[in-house]
Amino acid sequence: VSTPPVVTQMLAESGLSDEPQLTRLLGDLHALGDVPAPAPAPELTELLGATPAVCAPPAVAPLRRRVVGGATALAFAAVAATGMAAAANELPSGAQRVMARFSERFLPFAFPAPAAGRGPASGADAGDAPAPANPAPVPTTSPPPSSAAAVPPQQQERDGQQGMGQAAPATRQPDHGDARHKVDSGARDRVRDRDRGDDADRRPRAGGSRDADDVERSRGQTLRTSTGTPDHDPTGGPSTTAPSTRDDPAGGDGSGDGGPGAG
Amino acid sequence: MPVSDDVVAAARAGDAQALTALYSALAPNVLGYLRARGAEDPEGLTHEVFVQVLDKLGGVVGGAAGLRTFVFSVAHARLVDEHRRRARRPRETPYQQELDGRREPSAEATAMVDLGEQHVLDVLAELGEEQRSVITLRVLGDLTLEQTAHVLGKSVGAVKQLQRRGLLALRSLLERGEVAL
Repeated sequence: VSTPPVVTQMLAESGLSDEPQLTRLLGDLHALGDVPAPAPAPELTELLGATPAVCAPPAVAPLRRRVVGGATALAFAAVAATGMAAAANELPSGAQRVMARFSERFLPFAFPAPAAGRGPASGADAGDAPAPANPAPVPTTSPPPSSAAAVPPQQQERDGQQGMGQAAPATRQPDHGDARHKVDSGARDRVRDRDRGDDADRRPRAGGSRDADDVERSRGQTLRTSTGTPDHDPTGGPSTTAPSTRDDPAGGDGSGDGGPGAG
Repeated sequence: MPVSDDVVAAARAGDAQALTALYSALAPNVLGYLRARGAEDPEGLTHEVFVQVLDKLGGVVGGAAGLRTFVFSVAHARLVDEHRRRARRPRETPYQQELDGRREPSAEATAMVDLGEQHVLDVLAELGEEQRSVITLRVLGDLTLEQTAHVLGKSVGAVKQLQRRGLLALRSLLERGEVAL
């Protein structure tokens, strides 16, 4: 068996050229490398057969990761935009009211509630408006039984505030947070608090929120008939259709659906 | 098949045939080195070494000699990592050859080869760590003193001294009959 050149060289470098046992031992050690190459694993096989360009990692993220990332960014942007619009009181009144209630219950801060006159401007908000464009069904023609007992005292209070009728619209636009902490300063404030829903949860009422709506309608009717001015938001909430019917003491067109005779 | 500078250049260009030639020429020596140093899974570690080598093949300089130095630098580093990893293990089950299913049914010739291999490993185990590294890198890696010094991060003089002391220790073991050939 021939001695590997490197073994001969090593022995010569160390001055041990004439050492047969040592030479044989190093020859056996060299024989450990005289084996076939192990079969490459699949990953290594792929590397051995690939060009460098193929070995390069993909520069673009997978499609699914991009979709998920985009959807997440879009959701964050939508939430942020809604929150900022709600903070600026720029949402439609229905959405603004929902955001205000949500923030009062679940967030450490409160978004402002919508102004009262803004609602009727859009058709989507008509259901939330406390003073709808058509006040006819409110009065005495068909009052709900549950509201019959609740209305008179408030009506009396409102009647006592006739002098405030002119100033009423202007006092409605401040935020509702102040009104929540006031001691019962008038029926309007109470109704406003009810409209916020806080008291509705605490006070047992026979008619639930429906009573509050009825009271609100009758309240608006009372103010309108007593003052003769349209109940609109002086800040610009247009209530274009209301004045013509509200100001008609005979019921406007005489359609028989109940005129604004109550009050 | 010897590794030439042309083969290394072709492998760096991505030629599959050259890459396969490099692997066929160097993998047996890497496997032998890892086995002589007592790696737990020499085949698996050889695979890891070449995955890393092929990944960084574009940065290798020095032709065939430079590639050989780089390959054994990676092999030595992975071996050191494995030794450290094994040193951190709290308990280690001793190897039981009869339970190892990776081994084919042994023929007599195979048994003799295994016995010879085990004998060499037993002799090398008597050396110090650095002496064992120098001798195995030189013999199995077919490296020069300079290349060995580069792999181990030592000076050529230090490597030469370690080599001489290691060989003298082996000769002493053989003369005292503590190991028989």
